[in-house]
Amino acid sequence: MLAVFVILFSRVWYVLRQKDLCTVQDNFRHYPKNTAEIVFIGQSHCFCSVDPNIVAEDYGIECFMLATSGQTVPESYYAAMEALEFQKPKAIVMEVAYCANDFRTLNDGMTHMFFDGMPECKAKKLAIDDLIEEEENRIYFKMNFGAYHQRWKELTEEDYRNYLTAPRGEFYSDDVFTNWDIPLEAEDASEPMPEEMERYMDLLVDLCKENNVELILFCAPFNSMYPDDGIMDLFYRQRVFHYISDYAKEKGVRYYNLFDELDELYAYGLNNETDWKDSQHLNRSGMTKFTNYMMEKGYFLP
Amino acid sequence: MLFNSFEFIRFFPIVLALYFIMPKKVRYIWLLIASYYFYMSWMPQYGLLLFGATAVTYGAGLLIDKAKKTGFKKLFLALSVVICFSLLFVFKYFMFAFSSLQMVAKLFGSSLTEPSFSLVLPVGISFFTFQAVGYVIDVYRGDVDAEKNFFRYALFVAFFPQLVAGPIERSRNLLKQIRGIENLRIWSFRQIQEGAVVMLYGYILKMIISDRAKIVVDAVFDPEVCSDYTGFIPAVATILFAIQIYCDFAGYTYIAIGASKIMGFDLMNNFNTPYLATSIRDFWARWHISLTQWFRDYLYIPLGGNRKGKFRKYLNIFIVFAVSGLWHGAAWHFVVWGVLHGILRIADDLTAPLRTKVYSKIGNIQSVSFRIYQTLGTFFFVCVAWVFFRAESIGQAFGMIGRTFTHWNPWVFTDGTMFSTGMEFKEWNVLFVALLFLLVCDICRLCKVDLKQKFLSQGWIFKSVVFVIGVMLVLVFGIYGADYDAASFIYFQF
Repeated sequence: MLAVFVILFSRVWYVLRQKDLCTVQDNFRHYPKNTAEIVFIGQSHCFCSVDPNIVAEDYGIECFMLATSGQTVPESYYAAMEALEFQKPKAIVMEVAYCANDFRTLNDGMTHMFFDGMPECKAKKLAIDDLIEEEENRIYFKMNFGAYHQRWKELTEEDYRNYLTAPRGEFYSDDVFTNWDIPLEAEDASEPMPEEMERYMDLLVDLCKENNVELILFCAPFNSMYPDDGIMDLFYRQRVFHYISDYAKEKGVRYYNLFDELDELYAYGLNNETDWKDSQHLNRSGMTKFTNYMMEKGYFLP
Repeated sequence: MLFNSFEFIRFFPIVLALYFIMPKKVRYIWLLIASYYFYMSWMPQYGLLLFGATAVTYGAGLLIDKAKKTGFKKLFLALSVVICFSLLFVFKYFMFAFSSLQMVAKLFGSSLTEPSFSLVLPVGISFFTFQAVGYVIDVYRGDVDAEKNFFRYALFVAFFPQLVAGPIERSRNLLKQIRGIENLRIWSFRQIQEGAVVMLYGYILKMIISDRAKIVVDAVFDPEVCSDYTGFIPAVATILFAIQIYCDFAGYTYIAIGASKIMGFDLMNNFNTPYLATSIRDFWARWHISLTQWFRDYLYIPLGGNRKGKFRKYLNIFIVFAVSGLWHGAAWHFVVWGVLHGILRIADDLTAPLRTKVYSKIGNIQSVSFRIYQTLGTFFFVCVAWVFFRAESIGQAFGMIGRTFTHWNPWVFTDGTMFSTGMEFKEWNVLFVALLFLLVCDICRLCKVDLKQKFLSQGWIFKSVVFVIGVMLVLVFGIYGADYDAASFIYFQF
């Protein structure tokens, strides 16, 4: 009876699960142990900017993309911890856009995107206990069936298909959006990242040191949400990215702020007409150019 | 701790596993610890209240047993009953009594000072108080011997499956089983299967039907917006409330009975297809049977029952139903609900000969169609009374009944209005299918077809597959989860 239950439950759970962008980590569960040289962490800017298949196949560096939508700095810290439980990477590469956000978690949906595919491990347990403040809600991240069972009303053909189609956690978008010029804040303007985020960055730096893994930080360029709106927010974020430069120096960590290399990126071929999926994320074409640029510069090389 | 919570899903297997491997002699101690943990996980300090009621009735039982003179027996009985009902009054009825006095004072142009404290109603207080008081009365009457072992008695009062929402067990049933706990049959595969099936049925009633019906009921009975709903919408919501409260309470009872069965205990049945009753009298023989029997044995009969003439009989019935209303909640609309049932019950009795005469002249009173007519008629009156139970005030209840009968709007079933009450079309389909299942189960029971035994006598592959599918249906179609405010069992507040 138990066998019937397990088979039926796992199948039903598979069908009911939210699959929109949150199944990346499922692939990590099936990714061969101790093979990745680099593990990427961070939020959407990371998985929209870096193609792990190019890094692995064109540059011979095996890697996995553990970035998830809306992954906050504390979540990235636990993602690194998770990576170290299953892999022995030479480097953990983190995209730092969310260092400017003072969030431990974004919202339930995004938090599920982070936790749902995570294999059972120490990092997951610690992360749930630390990041899910309401004790009664933790169970829905440990056993997410309770969060998704009501999806039976909205199931589509997609839900019944196999979603283990991104062996290295890659994500591609072929949408095209015409972006406008990215406004830049003064180079010497700086503002500290929120205290709580810096505390988790410190923990991440220590974690990597303890495990003899190099931590590499980078910041992929992005634009404001709208041409006339969100510019102040963009400037604030750029000031934080400048601060991270000092922070990284102090901690002895490599850091690449691509806002500082926008001209070079455009010269390399990045095109505002063809390479964006929206104002903040690159599409497949932009991702290819960005990845090649970073690899040719040796920025991701451990 | 709710039966439909993850805490219980963790709690019950642990309790069960240790109960099964524990030496026979200490089983009751283990169940007592588990029961207090179960109760105190909600509000630890109220464990003292449970303990207090237990200690008082335990002591009273012993004193009554030892007292030689009837006067002393009566004194100890009266003292324990007064103490227990005083606790019940303070925690459940004090604010109600105060606000009622306040209303009276206002009529005379005066006012009372608001009390500076407020009390949270202890879960299940009416259930364990009645169970404990029932025991003392049984000892006084000589129906049972006083229990000498305090811990065994404490387990009788606090037995976790039925602690917070019944059935209100009698000492001659549950206490007897606890006394013989060493000899109870456990490790019986058949018994475990039976218990599991009954629990599953309870979860289906609670999580698929009751909590789904609750969505519409809460939307339509919301005092802020209830005046927007007229005609068939409040009518459907009232029927759904009848279904909600039945499936909620019966669901709880089945889970309690099933959990107890797995541990080797037999709890009394609390429901017997109440909505297939053919009269109000029949309804009360089928609804919340343990409470009905409690009132019959400890209130109706001591009041004189039907032994003192017709007027006293009907007065006694009226009193019992009014008290029953008050037992269900400390508010006037519950009293009105009880009184309404009392009136219907008396009217049922008074008009029975006339109705029988008329009906037998019109047609065959043994026919199925006549039974259906009686069932529907009873259900109609029960539903009208439920409006007073569910509404938050008597005024709201009258308003809803008025708006139901003064508007004719059958188009709400076809123009989508019915789906604007918080539940979408697909959810209605699930509810409809689940209700058909419930109806089939209840009709089989009425016809003395034991579906449970028929199921248990099937091959293990068939049983396993059907059981697992049942569990999956609850997991998928049950109402629970992060985006849903876990609905407590309605009867916890009584």
